[in-house]
Amino acid sequence: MFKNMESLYDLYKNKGYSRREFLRSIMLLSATLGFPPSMFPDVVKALESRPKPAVIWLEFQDCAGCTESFIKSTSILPADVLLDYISLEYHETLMAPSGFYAEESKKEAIEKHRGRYILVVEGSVSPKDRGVYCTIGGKSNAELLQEAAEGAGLIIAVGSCASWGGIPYAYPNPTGAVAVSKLLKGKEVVNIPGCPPIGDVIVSVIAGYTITGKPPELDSLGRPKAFYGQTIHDRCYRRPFYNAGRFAESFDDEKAKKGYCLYKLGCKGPMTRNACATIRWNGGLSFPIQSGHPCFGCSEPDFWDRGFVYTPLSVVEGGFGPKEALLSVTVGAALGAGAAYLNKKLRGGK
Amino acid sequence: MDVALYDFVRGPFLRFALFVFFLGIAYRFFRVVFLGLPPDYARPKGNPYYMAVKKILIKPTMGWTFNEIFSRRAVNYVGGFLFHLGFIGLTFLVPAHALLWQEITGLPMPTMPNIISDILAYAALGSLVVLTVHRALNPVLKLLTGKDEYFANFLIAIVLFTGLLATRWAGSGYVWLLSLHMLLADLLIIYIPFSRLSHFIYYFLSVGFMGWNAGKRGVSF
Amino acid sequence: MAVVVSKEEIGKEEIEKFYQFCKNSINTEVAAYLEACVRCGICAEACLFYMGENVAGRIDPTLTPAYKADLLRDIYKENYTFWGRIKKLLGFGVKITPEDLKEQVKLVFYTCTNCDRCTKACPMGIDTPRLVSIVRGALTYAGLTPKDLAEATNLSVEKGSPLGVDVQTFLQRLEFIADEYEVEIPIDKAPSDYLYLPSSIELMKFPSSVASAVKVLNRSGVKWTMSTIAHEATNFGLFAQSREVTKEMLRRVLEGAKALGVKHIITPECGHAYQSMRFVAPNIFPREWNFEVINIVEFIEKMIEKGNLKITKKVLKERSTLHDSCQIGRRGGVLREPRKILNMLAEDFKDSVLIPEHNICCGGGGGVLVIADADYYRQKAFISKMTLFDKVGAKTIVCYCANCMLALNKGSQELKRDYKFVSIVELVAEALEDQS
Repeated sequence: MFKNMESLYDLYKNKGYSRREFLRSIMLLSATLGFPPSMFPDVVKALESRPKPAVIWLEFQDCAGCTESFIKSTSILPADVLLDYISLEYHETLMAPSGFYAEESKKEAIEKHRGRYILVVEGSVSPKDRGVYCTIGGKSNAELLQEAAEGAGLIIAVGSCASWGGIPYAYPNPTGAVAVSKLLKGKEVVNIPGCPPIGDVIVSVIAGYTITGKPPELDSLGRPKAFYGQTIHDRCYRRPFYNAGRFAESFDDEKAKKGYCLYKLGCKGPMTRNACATIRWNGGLSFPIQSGHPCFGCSEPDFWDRGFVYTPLSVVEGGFGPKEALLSVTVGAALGAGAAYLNKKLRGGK
Repeated sequence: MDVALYDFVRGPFLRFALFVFFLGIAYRFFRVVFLGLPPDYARPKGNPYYMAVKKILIKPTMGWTFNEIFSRRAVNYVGGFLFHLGFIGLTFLVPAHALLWQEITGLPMPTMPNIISDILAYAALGSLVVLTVHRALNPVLKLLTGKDEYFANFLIAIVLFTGLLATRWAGSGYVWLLSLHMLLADLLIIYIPFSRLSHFIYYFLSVGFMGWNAGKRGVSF
Repeated sequence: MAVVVSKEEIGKEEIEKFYQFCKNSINTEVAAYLEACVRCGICAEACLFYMGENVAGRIDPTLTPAYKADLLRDIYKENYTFWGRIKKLLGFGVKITPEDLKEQVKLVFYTCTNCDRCTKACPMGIDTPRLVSIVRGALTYAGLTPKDLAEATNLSVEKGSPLGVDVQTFLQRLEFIADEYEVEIPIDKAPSDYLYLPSSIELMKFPSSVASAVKVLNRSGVKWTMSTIAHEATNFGLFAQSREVTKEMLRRVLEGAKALGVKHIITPECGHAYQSMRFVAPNIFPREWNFEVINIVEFIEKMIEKGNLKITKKVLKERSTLHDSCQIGRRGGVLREPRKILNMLAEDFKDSVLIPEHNICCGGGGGVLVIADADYYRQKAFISKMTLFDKVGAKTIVCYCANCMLALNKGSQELKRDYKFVSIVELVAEALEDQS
């Protein structure tokens, strides 16, 4: 049988896993994707028979952190199955070939899997100055993106840089970085923001495409609803303390250890949509809030430029303290006294 | 987009609103204070200063002893009480608001649990609606009411409503609702010094004078 | 000389005068009251005129106290606030028509007795009588005092009393009282500690009341006298809010008191007499007015405390209640004393209100009684007063203000009721009489 035509089940068998272990993984997967239990037999059938997905992974202005996150995703597929199943036809960091051969293999893969392959983009794109700030094999990144996007079955922008522009996009944005979706007008792009995004989410979205053959359901910002439908705040295990009005006062104080809410320390959970609080990181071990650090809001657009990392959400950005209050009251009082003086003068009489 | 609006309403716009609020309130208060008073040489029968402070502290409890007025205007009494309790409680003690006040005053502020703020919000919103309807139907209030009252009631109601929606029923529209809530709250903060909503600052003057007169005349009420 | 005029025609000049007076009367206190109003309308339910209409089944929202100050508020706004001034500049200022002023006359002279009850009910503590006084003053300044009130006021300046009691009549009446009730009345007796001033209402209409006061004063053993210079306690200048008249009337009291060298002035059972001498006079004569002013009720209570007077007999057998005079009670602080005395005098005394300050005005105070045009409103006000009497089921009502008694009697007769109004001093005199 042709190597690329292997299904997920074939891979499990070859690696010596039992069927039971295969079914457990699928159960986890369908639960993560939010499929109803009635769909379970279909999911099993699809993963037994459908060939593994072909993935072309492009990296532009990035740090490879998303890749790191992706290859460390172990809660759904076992480590040794993951990279064999998600067949990375082209990935600059992970693939063996280099230089001319690498570019050739990409071209080959695009032709071979045209219309079916999944294009994953990591990092923002820089079309400014004809793309001189990021070129691969003599081609500008924007050009490369257009080339690969043309025949893709599904385009996934992985990470905040690809989804929103991220850190390269931050002020003053010297390279003119933009989000992937900005350059691919008219094409549906699945944004999986986060810095980095949760690896399990990337794996689930890719696997989900093999099962249904369709992109997942997206919200208005192009994020899969299954993972970005709720805020961290909504699912946070410290939420009861927020509701009860109990807050940690400083990092790792007695209250923080007791699990009190980190809102006062600047937690952006209430306005950050992500699955950190449910799926968590490192195989469901923990997530930032659990380890005592407030949510950064890294999966929200422009998080880097908003600059209020450790101030509570509700306070005035730019600051309005006792000084400002006193200043405005003093000015107001002076104006009031002046007005009263004028009024008195104009009053005359007694 | 929603985040940009959010950043605007909690950043520069809120800053601007607070400047307008503090400046305007101080202006209105001191414009009245510095008009001056004629001296009063009549020997007081009681202690005017003590009474002035006392009345400022306990005035809201005094009207309740008027049984016959209460029986006719229970709506005003109960509704007004619930509304003020809710509005003041929500303004100062909801965690998010308390942190804002903490930043403004530089003093630690207590916060209250969600369950209480929810009850207060429902109470305030409900009583505000009832009070507005009452205002529109009662012949006396019809005569006294201008556009200002209706606009202020509407603005406060919608601020309360969006706040309640944002904390309770937002779903995926959370940031939008929160931004809307804050935008309207900013507008309300700006509107206060220009309207009769600034009565809270005149309360101290007006009730203070009333207590002063009561002390001067030696009456307890 | 006509100090206070009552014009029929209202022209530009009157409106301008009214406007200027209102504008010039604003100070911190007044401005605070005008700004603080939250338009809740609770004051309406506290106003006896509104209540009376309401009991009668009609609702007249213009009787709301807050509404009475609205023209003043508009004038304040366009002269003291930023937006108001801009509006005025743009030509959206207050436009006062003669009809507006006529309505103001109705609002402040016919349907307000300055009873202060709305202040106590107001959640913002707004002293509406203070604001009404300013509007009254402005109307008087513009020459628009109601005819009856203007006549009475002028008469009091001219002859010394609103009922036309001059010195000669005063002496005649005292002689009559001395004969009729067999009392000894010291007149212009120096040196004395106490100066007692009767009000002309008592003198002409309730002579027994004066006689009782004389008896009580004689009995208490203090050195007291009446004066031929300061022979009138009432001060219609306060009703019309004419500063000149107020000053002139008080000047007579001051001169009389100075001539006799007294230290204490005892005001009679008359509301605004107490108000004018206790709270207004010190501000008109800040340096010369060194007297301790007390009301006759306060005096009696003091003497009972001291042991100079002893009341052991209960003279009032039937169910009775107390009517408080607003100017002596709610606005004068004499509320505890009459209750204490009445408890000694009456067997079945039942207070008609929970808190003394809640009592309802007679409806005739503040000059409303003398204005014939206000009769309709006064009768309506009497209805709301009546509800309190009927609540405790009392037919005998004890008063400590002659003006209240007159107004209540009038109302009772007009509405054909059988209430009996008695003066507290008379009861005290009666109780003392029987003892020795």
